[in-house]
Amino acid sequence: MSQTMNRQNDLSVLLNEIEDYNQTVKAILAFAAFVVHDAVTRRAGAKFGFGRRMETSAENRIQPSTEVTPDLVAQKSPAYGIVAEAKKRLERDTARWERHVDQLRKYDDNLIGWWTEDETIPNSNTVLLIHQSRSRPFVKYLESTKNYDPEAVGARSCVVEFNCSEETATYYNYRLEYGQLDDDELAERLTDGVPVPLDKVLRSFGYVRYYDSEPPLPLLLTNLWSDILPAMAADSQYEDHLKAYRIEASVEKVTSELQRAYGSQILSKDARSVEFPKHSWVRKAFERLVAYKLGNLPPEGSDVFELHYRRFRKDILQRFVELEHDWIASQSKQKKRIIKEESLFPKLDLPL
Amino acid sequence: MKRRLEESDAPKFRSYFRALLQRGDNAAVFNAVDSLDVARPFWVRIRVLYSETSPAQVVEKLVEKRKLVRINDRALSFSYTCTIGQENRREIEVPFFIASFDQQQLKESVQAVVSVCQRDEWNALKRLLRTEYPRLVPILLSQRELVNGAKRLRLSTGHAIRVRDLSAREPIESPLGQTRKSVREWTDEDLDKVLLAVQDRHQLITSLNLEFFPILGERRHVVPKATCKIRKTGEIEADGSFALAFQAVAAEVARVGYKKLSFYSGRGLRQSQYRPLPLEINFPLPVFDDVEVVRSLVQLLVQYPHSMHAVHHGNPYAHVKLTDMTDLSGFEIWAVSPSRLALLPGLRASAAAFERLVDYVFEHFREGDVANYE
Repeated sequence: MSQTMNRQNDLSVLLNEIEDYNQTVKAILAFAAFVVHDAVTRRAGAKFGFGRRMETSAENRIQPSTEVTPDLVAQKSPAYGIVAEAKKRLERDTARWERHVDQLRKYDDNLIGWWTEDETIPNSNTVLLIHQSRSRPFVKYLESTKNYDPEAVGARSCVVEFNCSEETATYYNYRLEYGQLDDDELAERLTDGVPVPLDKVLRSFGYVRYYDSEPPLPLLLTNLWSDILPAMAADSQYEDHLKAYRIEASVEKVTSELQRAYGSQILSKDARSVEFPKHSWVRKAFERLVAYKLGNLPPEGSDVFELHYRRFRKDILQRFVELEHDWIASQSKQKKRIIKEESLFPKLDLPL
Repeated sequence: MKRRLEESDAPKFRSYFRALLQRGDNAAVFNAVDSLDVARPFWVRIRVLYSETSPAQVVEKLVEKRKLVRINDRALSFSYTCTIGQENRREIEVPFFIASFDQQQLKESVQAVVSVCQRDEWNALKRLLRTEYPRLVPILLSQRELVNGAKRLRLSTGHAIRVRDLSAREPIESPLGQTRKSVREWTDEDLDKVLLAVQDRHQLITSLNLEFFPILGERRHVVPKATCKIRKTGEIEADGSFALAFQAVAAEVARVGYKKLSFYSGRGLRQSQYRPLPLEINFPLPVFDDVEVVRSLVQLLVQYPHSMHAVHHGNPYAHVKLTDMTDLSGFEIWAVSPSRLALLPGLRASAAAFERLVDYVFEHFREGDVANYE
């Protein structure tokens, strides 16, 4: 395969990761909307959170008495709720699916952390939200695992497949593929299949761009470059010699603004909520901009990066995907060179 | 036919107009311009502008920056001096004044820049005013606003309105697909009849030249009281009664522009304290059920002038991020339902940037109704 084709393949892989992340955010949101809305309005007292800090019971088979952060915790009423984990893709190697079964088992518990007085809930289900392309093979795997070890899959575990379809409008469709929901109304609808219009999700939660999982770096960089940094550049000076705006960007401040505008602070907030995007993601993004020669590192002890903001002629997402690919390639070349140099001059363990 | 000035008389006329702007208060200046007999190649030229404070305040800042000179302490009269021309460079002075729409009870965030000058002088002044974008925002009229505005004029002025000429863009089929040709038509027809023809031919009007004839019962005067050329950029060239042109035509542009820009204002997340205030454009018929249309929309957005873009999705639905590099506003655009386009403003989204984006969609894609997306 030529180098150009290799590069194109690598770029496609990066673009697919970005698409997966975007779709996962929307799939979780649309599913949350399905639980907390009754198709007309939001149910009274219904709540949901991304990555909510919950506690497992002392009897938990996988991790007793520990803190877990499922992708979604959605409470339909004080009597019923769903804990969900989303997977847009699964590994081809089924041997690596065991950890997903374990994760499902871990959440299939009397978790503490619901929005009730004693933070418990009488009825709940644990759902693996999985893309339609992998749902049936995963259900087969789950059943075979259960045959082998009946305790490996919890009684309240379910698998719900999703896909994004375009008919007259764009919908996220959900269908129960495994298990039994403890809520009759949701069970009936999910068994038949539920379409949730993306338009409705956008109206309610169009600004949620992240969940409690780190986004691919080019995606975060695209969001920063298309929106956050221009808003900061508007208060900065354009410098002719740099051909860019010089921006003083604090990791702390930018993270806080991302959380308010596009992250955790859009959703309901309490002591169990997690914050996202995280400082570490933003710091990594800024460091990568420095590596791309679009800024300078902060002085020792400071979190304020100097970024050089300029216009990209081509698609911003495409540009960052290419920059990231080239950066990864240069890093692996460098590593290879170091390994080669080390093998030419092996370290000798000589006695002093 | 309007009298044409001898070339040697043009400087004398300019100097006379400058003197008019220096006498009395705003009302006196307004009346003086109304009674001024304007000969060719001079026209009364009006540009309605919007500002979150007031256009006059922005213009005052230009005086502080020494780009303009204020020539009357009691009225908003100014003078702009610059050099124009490539080969034959010459220094020009463009006197102008700022008129408010007090009688129409419009707030000071919308005002008009008025001058009596030649085209190249007017263009020089407009170039200066453009440097103040987005503090000074032009009013961009959609086809519907232009047509409805023109229709309302008959009622508001009580005059018979006839169309003298119109410029438009008309769709044509070419080997490369559908494109548009520019047309200019001279006519002498009733406004309603012309507007029907425009609708039938799917024309997009770029300017409309109207004559206002006084009427008494069923009888119509043969000499128009005023002639006004209205451009979709919110610019007006008037001949005859300035008061009629200003109070009817410019005021209509101001009313539409104020309503629209106030609606777009304050929607950036920072300005709204992070409360989402997105908009939607609703099209009368479903359009995005055809994937080709979705693709063409994405192509169009990618070509948005003075912008950066990121296409997240182009098929079967559209999800595009746009950054307006003229004032660094950001938007997310979604087409996920058949007859609706959602516009989600980013951290910074000025009213000017919203207006420019909506105008671009209307002009190059389709016109629709703008509403809150909630």
